[in-house]
Amino acid sequence: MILTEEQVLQTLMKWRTRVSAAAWVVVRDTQAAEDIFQNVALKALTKDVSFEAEGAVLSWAFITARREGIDWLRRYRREAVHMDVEILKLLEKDWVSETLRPGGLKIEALQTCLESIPDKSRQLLRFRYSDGYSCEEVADRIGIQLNAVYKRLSRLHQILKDCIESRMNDSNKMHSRPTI
Amino acid sequence: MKDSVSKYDLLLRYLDGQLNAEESVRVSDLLRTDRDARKVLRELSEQVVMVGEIERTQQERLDQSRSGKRVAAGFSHPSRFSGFPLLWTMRPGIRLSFAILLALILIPLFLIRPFGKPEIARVTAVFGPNQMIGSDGGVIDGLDVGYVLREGDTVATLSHDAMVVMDLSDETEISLTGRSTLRILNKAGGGNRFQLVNGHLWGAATNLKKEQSLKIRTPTSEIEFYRSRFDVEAGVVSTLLWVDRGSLNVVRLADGAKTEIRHNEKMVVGLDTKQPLSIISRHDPVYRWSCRMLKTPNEVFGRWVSPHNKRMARLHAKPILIYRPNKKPGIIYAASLPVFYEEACPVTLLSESVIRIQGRLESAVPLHIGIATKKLNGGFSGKFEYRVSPEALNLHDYSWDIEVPIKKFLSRQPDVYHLSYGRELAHIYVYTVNENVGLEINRVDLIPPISMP
Repeated sequence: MILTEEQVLQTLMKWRTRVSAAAWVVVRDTQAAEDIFQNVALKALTKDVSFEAEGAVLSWAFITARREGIDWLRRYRREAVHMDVEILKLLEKDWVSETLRPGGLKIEALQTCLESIPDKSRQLLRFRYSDGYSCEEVADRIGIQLNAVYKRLSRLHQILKDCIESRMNDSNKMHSRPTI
Repeated sequence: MKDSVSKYDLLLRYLDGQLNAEESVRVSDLLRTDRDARKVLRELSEQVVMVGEIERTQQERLDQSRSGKRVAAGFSHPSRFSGFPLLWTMRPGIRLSFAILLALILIPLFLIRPFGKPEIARVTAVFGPNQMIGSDGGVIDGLDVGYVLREGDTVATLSHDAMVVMDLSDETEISLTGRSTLRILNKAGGGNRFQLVNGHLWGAATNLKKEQSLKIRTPTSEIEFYRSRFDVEAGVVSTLLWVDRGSLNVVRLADGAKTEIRHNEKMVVGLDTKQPLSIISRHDPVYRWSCRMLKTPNEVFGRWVSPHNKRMARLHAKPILIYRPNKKPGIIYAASLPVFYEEACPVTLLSESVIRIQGRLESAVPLHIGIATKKLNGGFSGKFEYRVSPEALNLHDYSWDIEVPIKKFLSRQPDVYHLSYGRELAHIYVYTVNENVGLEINRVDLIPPISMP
């Protein structure tokens, strides 16, 4: 049975973080990854494509995101290192086969976790992933060595990962919420 | 890869091309053969895009500055007086003359605008007609991008398709859309304060610091936003609050009742103190919507008139003066209603959706049908319109019944918003230009694609 436009859109929105993440692995630019997801969603509605299952939507979305990402790199970042397509395909396959919780819960948890980290750490993440500065530029801006930037970012990713997992476990236990 | 931190470190350097050829080959091989290594990369990339999404305000700024529509992305950017530093590079004699000349130019400006008041906002994008009434009583018709707004200033957007986007000093972005009025109040308790007199305000305050908040007062509520993305629709008797991300505290002015609204929730704050403040959680979207207008929110634009024959509900158009700088003022006769007001399910537009509207007109004139849309994950997404020719109206006994495929609606802000579908429907409106011909709406339907049940 062919999925309706509504079901396709719901699937894409449900797995938005994952498709955007797949695009980010290609382009390494969060802004471009977000744009690519929007393009994928619009293509799903405007192009003559049909899907029989959620998995098919996801597979198509990953392939489309990857192609869009490679096109984007050719247009805007010719000097960038291109990730091996074989690895990208393996990542996509893992993503499709994995049955994690949808991104919505994770993003709420991440938002709370971000609030708990020091402002300087938050600034580092913002420079790197929102403002789009390279690690060298971030090092210049905050006056530390390039190596230190990578070390701090790595530690932050680990802290956030642990925090998200902890929050998501907690959220399962919560049934009510306070009002003011 | 020894431990998780060093895995991230290696992957980040690998993605940035910072490893030497040998190390790079080793990581590539590992990613090809080791599923756990790929899992680390997948987790890392998901985390990165989520961080990017949480900071989406800045992302949207980048987006718009790339398209060349925005010149000022924040208060750290050069202001319209950025020529001042040049003064100090001049020779002393020329510097003195230049300073006197500058003073002669600026003194009258100080008299016109109270520069002593703190800067609160900077205009970063403008569409359609707008007006600014300064705290000193001065009036400016048509704000330009880069204009600095101060305490006490009032900004009004003057037509259904008008929009003014402003960046605040705390990196919040707010957009005033439609026919709306916003007054800038003085700061209090570490946050910016505004009064939304009427109309629609969209905002992204996701970069606020922990101790900061943004306060907005409407005719029926006092709202305090913390790191959130939201929209507020203020009318005389009710306010619709919608939180796409983050949270807010709201106080109903009528009785002081308080509550908190969070991510993906909304609330209508009215005047009826017998009703508790009730939160409406967002449900799955719907693709079919029908409104016979027998039970509609108070916040419609138009005038209800008595039922007549088969027309049980009649929302009659009201005149609006449309003022556009350097153009002759015009009058439109418009009626409008919100789509997703007290319902829990957002109404989503698909590419094959059709909007059907039934109404009344006393004579055949061009009729404009418009929709205001919202992005699927929050935020204003443009207004789109379709013009119906007098012939296509096919008036029969003063009645018209029009079906318009969603794809035929054209953007009113085509530089920023392109597609009318893949969006949520926020408002539907109709209007005639300069012709008072008894326009009214009797029924509205959103018809999903035929393939859907």
